[in-house]
Amino acid sequence: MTDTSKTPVGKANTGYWRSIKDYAQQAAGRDAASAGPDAGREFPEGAAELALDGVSRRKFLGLMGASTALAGAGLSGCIRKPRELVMPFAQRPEDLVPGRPMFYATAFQLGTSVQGLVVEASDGRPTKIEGNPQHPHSLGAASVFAQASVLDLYDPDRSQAPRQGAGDDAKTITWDEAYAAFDQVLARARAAGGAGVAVVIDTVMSPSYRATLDLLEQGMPNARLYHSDPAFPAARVAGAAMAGAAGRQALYRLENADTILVLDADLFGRDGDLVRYGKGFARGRKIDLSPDKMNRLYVAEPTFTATGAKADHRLRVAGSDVGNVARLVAAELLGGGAPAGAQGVAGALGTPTVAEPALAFARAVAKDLRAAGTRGLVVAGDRQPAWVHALAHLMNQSLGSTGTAETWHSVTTLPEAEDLAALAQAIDTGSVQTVVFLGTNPVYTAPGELDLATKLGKVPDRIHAGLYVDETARLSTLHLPVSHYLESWGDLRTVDGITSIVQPLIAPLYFTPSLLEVAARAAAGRAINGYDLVREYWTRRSGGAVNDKAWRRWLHSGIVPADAAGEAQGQPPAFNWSGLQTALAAAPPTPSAAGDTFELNLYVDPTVFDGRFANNAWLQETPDPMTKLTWDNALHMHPTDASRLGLGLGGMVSLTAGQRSLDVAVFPDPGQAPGTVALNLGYGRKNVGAVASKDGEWGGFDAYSVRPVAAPWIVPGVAIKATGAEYKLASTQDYGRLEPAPGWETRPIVRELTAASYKENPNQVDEAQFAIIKEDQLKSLWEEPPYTYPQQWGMSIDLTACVGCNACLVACVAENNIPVVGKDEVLNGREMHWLRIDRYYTGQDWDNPQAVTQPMLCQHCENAPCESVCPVAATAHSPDGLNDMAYNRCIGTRYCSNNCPYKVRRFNFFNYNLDLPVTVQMQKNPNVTVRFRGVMEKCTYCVQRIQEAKIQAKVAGTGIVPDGGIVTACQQTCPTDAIVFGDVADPNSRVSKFKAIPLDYAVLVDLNTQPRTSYLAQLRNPNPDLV
Amino acid sequence: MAANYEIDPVSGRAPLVLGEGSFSDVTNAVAAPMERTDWRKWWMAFMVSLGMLGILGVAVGYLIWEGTGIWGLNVPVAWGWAIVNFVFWVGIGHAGTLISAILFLLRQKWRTSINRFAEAMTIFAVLAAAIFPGIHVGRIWVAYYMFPLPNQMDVWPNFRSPLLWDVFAVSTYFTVSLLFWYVGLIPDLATMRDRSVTKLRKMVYGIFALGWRGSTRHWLHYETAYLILAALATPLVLSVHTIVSFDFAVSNVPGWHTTIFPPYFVAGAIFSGFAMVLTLMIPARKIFDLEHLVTIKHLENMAKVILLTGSMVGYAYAMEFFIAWYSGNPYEGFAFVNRAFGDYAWAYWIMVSCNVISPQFFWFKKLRRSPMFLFIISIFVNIGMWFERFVITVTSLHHDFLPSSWDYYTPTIWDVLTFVGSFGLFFTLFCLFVRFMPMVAIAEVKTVMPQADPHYVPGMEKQVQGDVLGPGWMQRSEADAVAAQASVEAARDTKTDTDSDEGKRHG
Amino acid sequence: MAAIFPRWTNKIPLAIGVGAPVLLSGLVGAIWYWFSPWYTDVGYRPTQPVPFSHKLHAGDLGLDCRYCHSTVEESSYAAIPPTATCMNCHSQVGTDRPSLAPIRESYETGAPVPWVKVHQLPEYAYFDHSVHLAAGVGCSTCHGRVDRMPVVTLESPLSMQWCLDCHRDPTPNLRPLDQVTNMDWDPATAGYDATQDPARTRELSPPIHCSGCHR
Repeated sequence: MTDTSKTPVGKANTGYWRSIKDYAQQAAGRDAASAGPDAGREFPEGAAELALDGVSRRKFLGLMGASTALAGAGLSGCIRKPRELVMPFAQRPEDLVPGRPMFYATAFQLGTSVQGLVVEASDGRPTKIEGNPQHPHSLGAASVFAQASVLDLYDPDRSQAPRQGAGDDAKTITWDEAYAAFDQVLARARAAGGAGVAVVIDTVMSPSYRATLDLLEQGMPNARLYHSDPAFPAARVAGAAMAGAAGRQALYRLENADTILVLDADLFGRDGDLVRYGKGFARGRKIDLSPDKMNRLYVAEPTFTATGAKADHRLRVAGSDVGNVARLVAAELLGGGAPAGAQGVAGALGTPTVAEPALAFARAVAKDLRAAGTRGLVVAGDRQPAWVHALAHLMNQSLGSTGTAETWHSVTTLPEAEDLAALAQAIDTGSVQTVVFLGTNPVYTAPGELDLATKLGKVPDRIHAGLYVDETARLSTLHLPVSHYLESWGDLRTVDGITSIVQPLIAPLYFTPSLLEVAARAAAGRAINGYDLVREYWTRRSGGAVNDKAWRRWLHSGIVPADAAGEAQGQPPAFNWSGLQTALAAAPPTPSAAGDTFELNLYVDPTVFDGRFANNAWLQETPDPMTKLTWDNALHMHPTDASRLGLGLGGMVSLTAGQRSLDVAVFPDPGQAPGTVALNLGYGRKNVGAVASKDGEWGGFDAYSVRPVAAPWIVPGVAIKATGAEYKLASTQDYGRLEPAPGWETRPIVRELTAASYKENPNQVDEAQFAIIKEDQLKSLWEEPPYTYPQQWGMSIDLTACVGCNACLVACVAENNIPVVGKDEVLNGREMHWLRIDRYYTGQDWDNPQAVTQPMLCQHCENAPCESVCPVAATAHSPDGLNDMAYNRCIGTRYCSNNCPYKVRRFNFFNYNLDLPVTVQMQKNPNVTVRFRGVMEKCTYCVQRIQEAKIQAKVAGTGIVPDGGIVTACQQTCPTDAIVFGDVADPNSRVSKFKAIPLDYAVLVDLNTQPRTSYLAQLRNPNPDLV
Repeated sequence: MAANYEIDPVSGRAPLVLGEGSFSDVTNAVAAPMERTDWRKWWMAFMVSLGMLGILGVAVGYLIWEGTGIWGLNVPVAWGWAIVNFVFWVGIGHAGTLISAILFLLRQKWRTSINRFAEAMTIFAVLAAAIFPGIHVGRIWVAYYMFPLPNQMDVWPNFRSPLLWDVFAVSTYFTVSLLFWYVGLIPDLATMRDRSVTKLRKMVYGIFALGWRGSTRHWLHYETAYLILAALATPLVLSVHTIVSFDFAVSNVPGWHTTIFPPYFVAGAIFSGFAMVLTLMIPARKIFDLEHLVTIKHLENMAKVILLTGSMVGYAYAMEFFIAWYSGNPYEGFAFVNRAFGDYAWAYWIMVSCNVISPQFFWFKKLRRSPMFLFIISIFVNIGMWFERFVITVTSLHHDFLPSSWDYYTPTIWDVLTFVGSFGLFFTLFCLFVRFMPMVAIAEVKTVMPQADPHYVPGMEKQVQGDVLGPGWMQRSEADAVAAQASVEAARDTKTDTDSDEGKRHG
Repeated sequence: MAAIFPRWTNKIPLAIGVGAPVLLSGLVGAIWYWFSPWYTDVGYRPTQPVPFSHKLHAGDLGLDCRYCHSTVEESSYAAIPPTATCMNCHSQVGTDRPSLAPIRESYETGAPVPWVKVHQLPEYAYFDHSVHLAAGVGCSTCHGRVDRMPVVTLESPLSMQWCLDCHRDPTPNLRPLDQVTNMDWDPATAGYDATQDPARTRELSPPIHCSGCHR
């Protein structure tokens, strides 16, 4: 077991379950594990034994060989090798081939969105997460959050033992003690019929979990459920109700729309559903999929989001004005005859006083939408009030896109629950004796003005079950650690009713129960293990139809067939617009508040989301898609406003909203609407872990503390004044434009043109190449390496499709063991990401620019400048056209980096893998060397996957890898399929077809580097009326 | 001692050795610093240098322990002070060989009294330079991969890499310079051996004198060897810095990728080399009373060389800008505009004012001949030339092709300490040199004295003075005649001087 | 003047002239021999927790390599067999043999037997058994006559040079695809030419570039 396992490529065609035995093994492992610390030995192989004794630890380190051994002996090339032990199984699971990874289907929840996943397990360790190709909400891709979630499993800061007592006098206790205390409190509660019991739950998308909660409520009729999810789309739900569709939710399907108006929603950046949106958007956008016509995207938003960057027309407007834009568009649309029952609405719209360019924008959009008809779609963002959602539904109905681009679904898993304000009130009235936090952390995420932290003191029994000893756990009298979703049994159901079984990849590292098991224990008063619970639920649900065979099929495909999942989906509701009419009348259009106060716009963060990923080092170091900030959030402010307040990058201001104020650093953002500021939630956490924050050094600023209950997203009348202090903000991109300086010509690094001009002259991109030197004048100092191998690898990246969502970046980090360097090193300009996403502001108006994103990775030049200058030939060309990097030959002159015009090479200035926690080492990909200090590294086109595919082809006897047989990590997870990889020597391969598209160009082609990675120029589809 | 005649009676030009110096006087004058008894000042200087050398030890030790990250480097600026210092020191290491080799072949007699000094400086500078390529790599313990050694990996170095060319160029240059220096030293070492009073000194000098007795045959071989080495060293003077410039010129970084680099670097190297010679020579000739050997004329000649090379460097700066504009390459164009007006403009203008403007004062003879002024300017030139390398290395890298990867480079305390430490090494070696080695090539200086010339007739200098002084010189006092006679006697007495001198007059 | 050095010192230059080259070449030779994997690695023979004899099992009893190393054709490495494999026979044979105690214990407790690795490659070298077998490289080509080893010994230096020698010219080390596990197959006598073998469906292209083995 010491050396390596292999990553199969083309995961789509790999079986997830291999046999009954395998499944039985897993079940056994799970049984044992949930039975307590003395169990969990027979399965899984790697991890469960980890904590137990020296031998298995050594075995485990053997598994991790790449990391520690390499750091010491390996790279420094010593003569005698260390004495290594081989630890074979006593009983090897029949179908487990040591060195071959296994793949299991499971699912991942973020707020109301659910993605089906396929998780790779190397020697029993979950190492890499991919999307489940068969799951309609992931279609093989995984979001940046899902990609990074595997690291949370191994987070050494995870809560590992139960704790009793709040605050500083808390002490860790045994599981028996913990369960005893837990059962005692709950028994008392049940005896009282739940009187004085408050259960605080997260957003529930799991049928069996919902059923368990129902059971809980039956046991305690007087118990009250409270819902704690700071990112929950309450307005969306209320909007549906306002439109007469209570209990149902709308799902926007961009693939069914040609003209899309997005009202302040970051579909591609922050939204949990970004994979589904990305896939849908790309389908109507990409030149290879829709060659004749492209869809058109309008976005009205206050701050620059990935979605706004992608828009053909972006209207920079205050958050409170978005509604007015909606009114204008609606007025235009409904003017020509509103649908039945909505005639009154047109009258109630009023005439908002909105300045240009919003007026022209609204008119053009309305005209365009009407032209698109049933393929027009209006998307209302979750930050907008309910009536904007209702209005959007009305517009879609009048366009006729309801049922196609906007489908309606009953969400059956969300229980009736009150909000946290109600909880605070209940505590004030003293009616709460017991509060149970199930996987929620309201002390941190609740609006600051509720001040739950102090109020909780009034509640005698406070029980918390969660992954971390977080803000709430510290104030609880009893804390139970729970399992990560990769350690738990469960199930998840999407809004539109696609259900997956969540199965564990590994027995709980710390012998923790899953949240479901905790809830079940609370309901039943005894231990019920998750597997039985889920299995029984589905047996019951499908009327006993689930035999082992069917069950295994569900687990294998990761999808529960619709018939088993039950209710029919998608009919449009019977709308009733009276509610909307009254709402509109009640809230007449008001111009956004001017004056010296600002409008504060709160957002969930595109990397740490609502703060739940705050201790995830990968996501902390993932740059914000637009600002490229790492390790912090910051107050986005338009440069003119900033300079008016005498602020630069990192200037501290004191921000006052109502009674509460917050000191926060400023980030000048030209995409921010003047007069407004924006701040991301999810930062400013204290003592949750070593990664999340360090006082005064990183971790950002707690936006929840100034979040009002009444206006959770858009806060008017916020006072801001400079404090004079400075804060270091670590952005991975210092300079943001393609013009090196004002007055200089735009560098043709990102090429962009309109669909119209492309139709006029499809070859213009090609003609624009070789502007500095003609192609035939380019001479190479050295003769080119021979490309003798029958297959030649290359990559094409479609900038029209790229939305800059960072999924590829995190996938690359996970696949290639890329170290996290920390904020200081990012400030030093030493981030290690092999694949970075460059963001350039474009357009003539530097104060109100457009933006483009460009994934930048090793271009695998045929005339590689790095190769000729390396004195020790540590980087050289392979016969199949790769720019190889031999770490153990590298002596670290860094000459290659200097000579790389794309600056995609990364140098290990320190030993970034020193003292890596053992659990974190478990995540490392055994097929990729963990690099030691002093060596250069870079994108390899996932050479480990290439080699594996070639080996398989050779063993098969053909020696030729079929097209699509190699999928790079970035390509595999790209939500918009912007990245294509394959054999460029084969004219029929997909990548060759992409490169044949006239939009294909190479960056810095004049240098004669002849990159194997080329880009498809970004196409935009602007509305002629607005140009 | 005051000069008692203003022109060399034989050559009719300004004398290269002042004073009525006989051969033995020269020997005494040069040997004096090594034979003095009071070394307190020396110890002070030596201890200071040693302390700085210690700093180098600490800085390098910490570097090896912790990693290259202790420096301010980043991506894109992956080369910083280490490379700047390397080029700086290698540049300085040019004057010596130039003076001793090229000027020797050109029969420039004035070189004799400064070449020993300059060569020593060369050796020490190249040693200081040689540290940096070694320590700047990420994995110092495998730096030997750079050398073509047979190994079980069957992997050879990449001979296309300028860095590898560097390894060979610099090591060759160092070896030849060392040999050249040593060969030149042999007769003087013998002199020192013969003058030594302590047994130890006798032994040590004896070993290194390789049994030199100054016989005619010795001199014959010596002169041939010296000539051959001079011929060997001459091309190296040009090649080393040409190849060092390839590190930049062969790359594709805007601001590096220019054909003017080789000549421009060589000119700059000579420029900085002569400046460093002045910086060290001016105090030394004062402290060790060598002003009659290292005369104002010598200093002035060096000033002229500095003026010439300084102007060449200035021309190169201008030409870079012209080509950047003329080539029409926008990346190239921006690189240079960014140099002069970008984030590092301050460094650029320090460089220009020190390297181009300050030497222009040497157009004025008065300033050229003022040691104090020369000293100050030489310091400026040293600073300016260091900044030239900084500007080339850093400003080109920090804003290259893709604006997304632009960054700013700031050195850390460890960059600074390493640089200071390299001066420690340089000065430590120098202190040892002035204490144990003849600072001026005794034997060679004697060859340029009138007495060494076959056409020299004792007392002729008076006659020549007369021609110059005009009629009436005969009415000079008897005392003059006596003095002249005395000097001639002294010249004859040298027969009984040292062995080494004996051969000299016949050889 | 008095001579500083005794007469014999005149011989020193000669001594150096002769001695230095001799010394130098000696040094090079020493490094060449004592620092090469042929000296440092070959012959490595650790004692195993159980005195398992390949000579007995593979040689005398004639078990096929793949009976125990069952993953060799499908995986990167020929996995050490699980204890269960041993017990297939040893539940009947030598059930009370004290030397087999660790096996029985492992079988009962489920704790692995800590075998000591003999054929170690550096962690940054990624070797794959399956593809070498598929190319017709015999077990004995690298591991030697394991069937004659009571205790397994490292027979090849496993150095990069050694790998490359074969990768540059594989044919002498290849054998018919069905003879891979045959210990007695001798390339010298067999006179086999891989290029003429109809059973081979693809041309051989052993990698000699970095990423072939280093990732």
